Amino acid sequence: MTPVFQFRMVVDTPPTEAQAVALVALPDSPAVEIAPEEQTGVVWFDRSASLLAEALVTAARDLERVGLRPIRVEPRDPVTIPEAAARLGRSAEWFRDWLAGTRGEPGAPKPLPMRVTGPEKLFSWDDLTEWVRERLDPGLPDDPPVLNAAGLVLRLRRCASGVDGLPVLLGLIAIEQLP
Amino acid sequence: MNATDSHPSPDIAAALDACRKAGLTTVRGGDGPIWGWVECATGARRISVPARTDDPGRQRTRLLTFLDSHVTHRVRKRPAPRVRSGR
Repeated sequence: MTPVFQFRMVVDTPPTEAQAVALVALPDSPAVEIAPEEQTGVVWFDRSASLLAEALVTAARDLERVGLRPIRVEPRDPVTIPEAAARLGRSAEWFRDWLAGTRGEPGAPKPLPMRVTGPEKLFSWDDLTEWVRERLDPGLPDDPPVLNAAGLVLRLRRCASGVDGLPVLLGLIAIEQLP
Repeated sequence: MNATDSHPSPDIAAALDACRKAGLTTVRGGDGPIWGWVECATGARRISVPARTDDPGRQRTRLLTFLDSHVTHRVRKRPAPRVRSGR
């Protein structure tokens, strides 16, 4: 199963009606949030990809294709059990059973005290990943470093055209040279 | 625009009902891929509601998360005029 990654991208202008329609019409049907007073917008993605980085890049490209400029990435919390299972590339039934089997153990994730809930309880993605890493898959990738790096890349792109010697500066991030 | 039209997906319709009960406004859109919008009480933020979806559960969670974040947004009430005691 290909994982489905959830995140939000903040754009630098409120999307127009036509831009919102173009985004909602995409195969994964992102949700478009508009904040006219703040002169901004947020696009909620649930994107299928083998890596979070790949999902972020295709989402940014989709925004640019409709004329929006992504400026920031935010994690999308909370999640339901089926959503968490999809992010882990597992079936909802399997993950629900696994989680139920660990209920009551010290440190087991608990549903969030939301003001409003639907039929599915909501959990913190961070709580779930920590638990999964501890009990199931120690190699589960950590989202925050990827989201932070994506945010920095988006900032760099905004100023890149005015930077003299950008390739020289980019040489600083060659990972093999890091101490 | 007609805010009382119900959404064809029962999952999304239930989330929209929860939004209305909590004081948010639903605004019906056109005939395209956007069914309408859910707007917070101050009108500062609104989120799209798709006309069709392969995964209504995800859309429901988005709407409920939006609701949970914005349910506390209230239109500011004007302070009541002070009544002087006359003394």
